[in-house]
Amino acid sequence: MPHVEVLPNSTSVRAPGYAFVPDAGSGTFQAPAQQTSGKKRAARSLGLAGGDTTVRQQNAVLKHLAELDKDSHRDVQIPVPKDNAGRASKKTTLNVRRILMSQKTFANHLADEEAAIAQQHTGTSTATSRTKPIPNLKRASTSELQAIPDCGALQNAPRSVGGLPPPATRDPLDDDPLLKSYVPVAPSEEIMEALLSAPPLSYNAARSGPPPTGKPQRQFCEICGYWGTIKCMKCGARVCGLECKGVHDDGRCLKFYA
Amino acid sequence: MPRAAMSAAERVLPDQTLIIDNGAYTMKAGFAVPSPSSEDCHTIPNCIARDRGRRVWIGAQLEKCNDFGEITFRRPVEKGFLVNWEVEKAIWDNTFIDNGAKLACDPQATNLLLTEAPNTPAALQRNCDEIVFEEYEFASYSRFLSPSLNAYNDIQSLYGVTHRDPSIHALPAECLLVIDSGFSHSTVTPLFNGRPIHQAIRRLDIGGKFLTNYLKELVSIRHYNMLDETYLINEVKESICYVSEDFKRDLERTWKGTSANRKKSRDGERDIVVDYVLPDYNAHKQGFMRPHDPSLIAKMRKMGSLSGSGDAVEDCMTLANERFTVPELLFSPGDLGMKQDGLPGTVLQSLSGLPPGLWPSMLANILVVGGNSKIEGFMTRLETEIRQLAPAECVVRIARASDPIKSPWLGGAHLAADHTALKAIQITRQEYQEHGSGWLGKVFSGSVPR
Repeated sequence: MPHVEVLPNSTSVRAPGYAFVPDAGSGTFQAPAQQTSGKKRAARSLGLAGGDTTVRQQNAVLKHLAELDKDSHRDVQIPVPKDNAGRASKKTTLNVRRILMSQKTFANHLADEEAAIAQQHTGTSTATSRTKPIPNLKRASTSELQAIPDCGALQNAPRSVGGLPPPATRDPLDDDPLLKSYVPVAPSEEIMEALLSAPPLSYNAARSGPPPTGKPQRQFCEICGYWGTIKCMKCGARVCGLECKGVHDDGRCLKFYA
Repeated sequence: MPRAAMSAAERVLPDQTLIIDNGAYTMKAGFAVPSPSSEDCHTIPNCIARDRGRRVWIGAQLEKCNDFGEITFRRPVEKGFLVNWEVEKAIWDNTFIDNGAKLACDPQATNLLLTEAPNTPAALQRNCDEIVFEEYEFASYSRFLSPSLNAYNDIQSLYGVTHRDPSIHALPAECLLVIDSGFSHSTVTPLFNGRPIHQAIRRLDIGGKFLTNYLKELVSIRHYNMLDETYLINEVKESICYVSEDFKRDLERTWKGTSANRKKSRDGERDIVVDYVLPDYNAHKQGFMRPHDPSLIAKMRKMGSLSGSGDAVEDCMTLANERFTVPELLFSPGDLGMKQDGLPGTVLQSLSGLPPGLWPSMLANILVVGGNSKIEGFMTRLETEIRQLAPAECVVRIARASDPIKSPWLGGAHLAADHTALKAIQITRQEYQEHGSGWLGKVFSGSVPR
């Protein structure tokens, strides 16, 4: 297949409804190509704590989460009632008409934003000198802020810090170097101004990340909600005991028809 | 070609100011008054709804509706961001423009203070600005992040601190960490002097809508099919759900036991298991919750079978572990496989985007707003977990706003009460027509001074 590449050019084309987005199949998890031999070994060694190993299981989880995020179970279309109050008809401007008629959902706007960021990213990388790092894709690390020595800065402890006891009740041991608590100095005015004028993150960059310790995911019985310690041999669903396993096998097992 | 911007002193603003806190579930709107209170703020459902009889209700008309069975909603605010202006215009016209509307006003003689969610895509912000100025033609306008308006409330009194010196101008709060847990999502926003620190704002994609849908799913598997009854399950969620302090202990208490000893009730179970009696929309009866009573259920069932289907017999369902597993999602989204950290972990991630010198003051001033904060046990659990995660030297003070739903609106009203401060912030329609929507976007995101 011929190699097709979108060249960034200076004129911005307002192509209606188009956004070139790197293909990931919306809402799916694409596994890397080489995962053929590790699955069974990983599942056996980790046991119940393995979580979802296959791409199909992970896609099922993502589909479930997307369904829980919907506004309504059925796809209902409620037409906006025509306003017949007989108000004096104003002239609507072109912008307003375009906005009112656009049927874009939030997913469309998000894809547009991602495409704009990606295009901006490739646009500056082809330029010879990268003058300023683009803060939108990644969160700026605060390591450069910490490196600035603050010993000369005023101890501008903010008014609203609670907890420092008045001098009369302080213990003489409070100043002992082993017991003293080291409160970090408050950042200086320039740092605060730099922080406040930094541009906002994109929608996806502002999402909070996974928990740090990576404890195994807690599993629950899909029938009654107790701890799910037993996995169905055929379909992999979690149940808590014999009785719920019976209910699952009778009606809910995905592999009911062998 | 540089154009001279109108300075703050030259702006002429009308007297009336309309403050709108646009949320996904409800819109909080009202006119600014010198000393604002909760009564000045009207809570209007931000949706259009169609009920069983195919009648369409817009916004505030929903108060008059009696039959909420199988009612479907269409919300213009999706995931916290206003995408569908066609529907929102219908709701705004119904609330602000129509004759006999609740908050009837003439936009050309009114200032507007509007809120939006953090990290809004730029295209949506531009659409909003254009609609405000070109369709409604408000006299002046400014757009804020909804958490940042909370800084204009009296925060320190929530922690029990009385002001030492009344002459110090207390507004806006100097350092504030706002946790806003609402319908579409939960955000953690650090504020400094009322301005948000954008790089440290974090979002957890679980909100009231997610919890309601999860409860719908659980109830549909275990009791009756309620997948179409969003309004009803929302009411059930608000009356029965609570956040448990010790999830493992509560789950053990509600275990039904093996089939051998099923009849034996466990100790402590009586506190948790409840019956929810479903409402009867034909007979105008509300739904309510009562402690679990198996003998009453058996009696009702017998009465129902004897008298046929003539008399009104109650339908009820017994709910045990759904009560606390549903709100538990806010604290461990990993239970469903979502690869995000819970709300306390999100707070810590937000702090990691700030210099360490700010951590003590941010952790000592945490404000919680949003509908989810009203869940019983939410505040104690959140405080316990943040205290466990925060560094030991820092004091952790956390408080829920006195009215978690109307708190940003009240903050905006405090801000708008000061006319000189208002003149410095608002952008007039004339300036918009001179400079355009691109300039306006830059002003509101802070890169160009007002």
